[in-house]
Amino acid sequence: MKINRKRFLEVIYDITPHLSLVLCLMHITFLIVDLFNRAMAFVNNDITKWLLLVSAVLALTMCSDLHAHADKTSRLFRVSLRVSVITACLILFVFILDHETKIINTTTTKYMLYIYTLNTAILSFCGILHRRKVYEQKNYQ
Amino acid sequence: MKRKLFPLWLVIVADILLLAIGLCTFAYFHHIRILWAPFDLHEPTALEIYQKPNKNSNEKVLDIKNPDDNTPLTHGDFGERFGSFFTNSVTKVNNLTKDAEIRGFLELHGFTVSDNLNSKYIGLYQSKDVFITVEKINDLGYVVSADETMMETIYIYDIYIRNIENFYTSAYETRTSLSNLIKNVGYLTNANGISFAAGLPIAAINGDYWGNTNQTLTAVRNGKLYLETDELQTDILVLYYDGAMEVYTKDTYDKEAINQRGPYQIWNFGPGLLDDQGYAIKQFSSDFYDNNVITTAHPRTGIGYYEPGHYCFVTVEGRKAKAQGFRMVHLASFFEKLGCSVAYNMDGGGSSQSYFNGKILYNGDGRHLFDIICIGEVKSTANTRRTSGGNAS
Repeated sequence: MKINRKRFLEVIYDITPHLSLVLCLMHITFLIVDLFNRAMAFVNNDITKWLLLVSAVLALTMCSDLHAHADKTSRLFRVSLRVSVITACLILFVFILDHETKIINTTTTKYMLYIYTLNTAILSFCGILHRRKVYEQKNYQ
Repeated sequence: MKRKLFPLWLVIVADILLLAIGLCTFAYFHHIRILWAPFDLHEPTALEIYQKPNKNSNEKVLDIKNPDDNTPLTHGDFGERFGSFFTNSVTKVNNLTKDAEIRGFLELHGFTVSDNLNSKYIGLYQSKDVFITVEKINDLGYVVSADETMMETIYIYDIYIRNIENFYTSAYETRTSLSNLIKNVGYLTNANGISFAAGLPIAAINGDYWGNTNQTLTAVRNGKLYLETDELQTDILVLYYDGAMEVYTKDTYDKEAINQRGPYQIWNFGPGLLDDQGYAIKQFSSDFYDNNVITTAHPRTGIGYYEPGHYCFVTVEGRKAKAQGFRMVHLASFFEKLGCSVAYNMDGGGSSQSYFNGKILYNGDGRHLFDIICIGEVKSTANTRRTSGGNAS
């Protein structure tokens, strides 16, 4: 079966903002619950760590799509895009450096997670709107 | 080709549904599956069974079920220290349940009697190896601090044991009821090197809820290592074979030193409640213990230690109109008043449960538990104890 590369990428770019948004909202939930009940280890557990890794990969994929259109958008959007890329890369770097990610327990990492999840959640929503805009333009043409 | 776009509100609703599914799946794997499915309690190898030091090869454990045993009654780990607390015959057991009887018994034998007007004794058990009194405080104006009173119901077990094996634990790989845990004491004892069998416990309280492997990082049960960690997150309580109890924080934890000394039990819940001088700790770190657990009144279970062979259990009822429970500082100051040198908080809330001599005194909210801490009679099943340093069951 012949795979249409362009169509495949479009499907990927369509799905990633949704998945990224859902994962970021999940992480925001975990971080909030963790503030009140740290003993339940909502953040510091293996499942959350792997979800974070997946989320970082999705965020980078989504950013690669958004980056192509970033020049036409506001400065705030471009800054948000950069922050998301940097934090996602940091998360991947921490994972590669320290597989057990003990570093995730540190306060600095927690703050980074707050920034990453909030920023990427907003960016994911922008990504969803962006994909709609792309299709609206195509339909119009 | 034109592509049909769904309305934005439908996309948002679909994403919210996806989020809900994601959270439910996470919840299933994070706390339902982990609690109901057997967790990985690896069968310990011979090296992972901590041996009791062989101090005296002539020492012999009496068999409570064997009336011909006429070994001198000063035997045992703490027999010489607390000989007067135990009966002088292997078959004689004193079992009292009425307050007046118990007070009379204690006065007659020269034991200390509680002078608390709101307390009454609800049980006394004395055998050749175990001496326990259970006192129930029912105080509607219990002074928890200089400017605050609360309604409290508290059970205090004052415990003397002849051998460290009389202090044992019963644990399951999955959650089960308190009564099941009591009936199935010895579940974890079917491994090598066991030379004792335990009967039904005389007294029991809930343990550290060790099936919660998110929190419980280290566990030794009846001399056998089940979970081990290089770094602690919360305080642990170690009961050594020599009867000493010590609390270790994440700063004072030294795995090698503990293993070398021979841990008989290690619990991982906490926090520790008293400082090195036996004074109540006034402030508890919220680094790992969340604020609700520390600052809100809840049902509580704690263990206190006076000296090797002499311990106490405390269970505090809570979440009721006339039994409000303790905050962590209240539990700490309660143990300070009891005169303990070490005290440690076990799992509380709905897990806080206690039992004495065939009767469940407090059942929390009936929550199923993973483990209980027991005081009871043990029976030697082989002559191997003093030669190989057997483990209690």
